[in-house]
Amino acid sequence: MTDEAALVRRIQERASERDAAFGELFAAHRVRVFTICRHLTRSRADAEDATQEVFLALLRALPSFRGESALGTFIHRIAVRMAIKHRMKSARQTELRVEPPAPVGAPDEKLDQERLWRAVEQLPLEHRTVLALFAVDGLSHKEIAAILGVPEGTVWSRLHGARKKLAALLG
Amino acid sequence: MSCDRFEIDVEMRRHGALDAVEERTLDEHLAGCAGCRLYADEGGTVEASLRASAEEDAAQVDWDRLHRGVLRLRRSYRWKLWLAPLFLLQTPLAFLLATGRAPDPQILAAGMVGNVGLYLAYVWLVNRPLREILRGTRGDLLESYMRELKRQRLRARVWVAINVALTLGCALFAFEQPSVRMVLYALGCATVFVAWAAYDLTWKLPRLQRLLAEVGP
Repeated sequence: MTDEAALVRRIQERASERDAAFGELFAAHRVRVFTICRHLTRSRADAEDATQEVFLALLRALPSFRGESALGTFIHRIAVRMAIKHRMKSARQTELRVEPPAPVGAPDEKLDQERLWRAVEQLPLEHRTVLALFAVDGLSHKEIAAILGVPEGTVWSRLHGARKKLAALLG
Repeated sequence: MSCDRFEIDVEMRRHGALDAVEERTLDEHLAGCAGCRLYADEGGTVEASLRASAEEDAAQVDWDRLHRGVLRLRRSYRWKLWLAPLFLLQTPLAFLLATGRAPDPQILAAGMVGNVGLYLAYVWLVNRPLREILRGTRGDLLESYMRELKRQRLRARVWVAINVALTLGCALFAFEQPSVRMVLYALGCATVFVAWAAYDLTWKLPRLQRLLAEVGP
């Protein structure tokens, strides 16, 4: 049995170990989940809220997880859904200024990053989602196709579409 | 093959999804196509830039707070699951205490519907705004939450007034022969509701307000 499968079984079957096992699961996946949420929501605070909701949804969904897909794929699929849901909800509730992620590097680079982020914000959701998943460290195109439930060819064409639109937006 | 197809091949090569033959075909095309070469040169910087920005943000996240928040939300979810049946049991319990016999089915049904209504009113008036406030928030969201907090105080007071009036009204007028036990039970319920709302208004909300103010814009 793999480590992940053992972890899931501890959460599913042993109430006494549930919190500790969940802590391990949280530590293993939190950065990737946050990165997905950060790219699909409007601010860091929104991304933090969405990350909490992802793990809460995960806690509720894990008892019925049968291991038909990899645990990582399962979690990232929830992350994409919850982040999109959170983004729509926050858009309904209040018109917020889009907060680009903390820019890194020299001042010129910071300006470029802000510009890039605002251009990414204008992409259609399906393009933005693919770009966000490719920006998550270590996710392969096969995993991305599994997360989105689309053929691999669609992943490539969406990535290509995102890049072309981004180039047009950035001039 | 069109340039669009080769551009997709550029993406695939960048992520290690091309075989040797396809790579050779792509290289041959790139050697003679300036547009595709430009596309290939500019490509990977976007993901790298997005990744770097998100990593920078992730480094500033208080993971312990987030972890605690998830566990707290789960506890609150479980607690609410138990609360609904308790609200349903309130009617038969009240009738048993008042009359010493099982309630008439019509009264039972009407009472249960009424209790579900009260429960939903609580969720809508008090609990939903509270849940919004309990989320880890800061920055741009702070101001809107502060406004929500003020509205929440008013809603909570309205809810308490409605609830106390309904409970006392039921106790005094719903039964043909109101008993002392029934009135005491109703007063007990009203006291619980008032204590519950008072806890929210005097302790929980001010504490949240202070926490939000500390987090700051």
